[in-house]
Amino acid sequence: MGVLNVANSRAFIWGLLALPSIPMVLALTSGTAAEDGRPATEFLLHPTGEFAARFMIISMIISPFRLMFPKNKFWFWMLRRRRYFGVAAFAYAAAHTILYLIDMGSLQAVLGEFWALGIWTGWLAFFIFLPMALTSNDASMRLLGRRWKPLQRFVYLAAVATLLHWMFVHNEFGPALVHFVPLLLLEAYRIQRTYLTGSTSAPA
Amino acid sequence: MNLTLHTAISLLMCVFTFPACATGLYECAPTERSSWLTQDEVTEKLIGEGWQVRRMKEDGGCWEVYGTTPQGQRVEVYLDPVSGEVLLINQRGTILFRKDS
Repeated sequence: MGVLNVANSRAFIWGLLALPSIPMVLALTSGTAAEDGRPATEFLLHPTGEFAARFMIISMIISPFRLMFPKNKFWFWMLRRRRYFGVAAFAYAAAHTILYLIDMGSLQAVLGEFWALGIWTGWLAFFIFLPMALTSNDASMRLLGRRWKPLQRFVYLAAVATLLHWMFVHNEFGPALVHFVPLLLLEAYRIQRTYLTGSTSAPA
Repeated sequence: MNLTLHTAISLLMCVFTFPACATGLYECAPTERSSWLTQDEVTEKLIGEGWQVRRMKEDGGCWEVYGTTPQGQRVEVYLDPVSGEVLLINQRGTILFRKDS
């Protein structure tokens, strides 16, 4: 009972989501440079972006897994906490964006590469995340009512943009695909279950 | 080969041969490793031409340098490892320059 209470507390979920940021904050505050001499602001670009994508993907796989295992308690527990994962994705994406701006050093440099394929896709994902994160609270849900869900569905566009951003920003496709192929397969399963087998029981 | 086709082919290669998922953005002709310019020589050459060099690695038999062009663009640039000639400049997924081979 005690363990369950802890797992169900808000502090636990926030702590869990903040865990990856601890070494990042330590590296930033101590000004540690990477082995190859890159400053913390530059080498943290990758992990911040990676965790933003990971938390976005986690928030997106909950529904397909609910469909797959409707009675599973873990995925129900996850569903109840989906907004936390989304907000965490935004927080890491915001850190990622700030580090990028610091790393680039000037507005001119930032604007100069804005239309590169690996860059505008990242900005697109970030600016989709922003209203989604701002409305991921009970008050916004009440206020938006039936419009809340369509707004949150923009995550699919953000996911495509994130995938392209990740693949093209350094032309490395492997790591991005490792993260996105499972999501793609789960979405394929969901589409197949929802639209092709005529199943009517589609959990949230 | 245009970028879209390159992407499509690379994606397929990545899916089927995952661990050896090279970016394959540029392939340099096979050369003797002993004839390669050292990292310091590459850095010196580029800095002399107004570039900034952050770091470099080997990719596709070329030197792949992460740096900044004389115009201040953050790019990855592929160099002929023997002559140091600039073969391809890639700015965050957009090809700025590709030497016709």
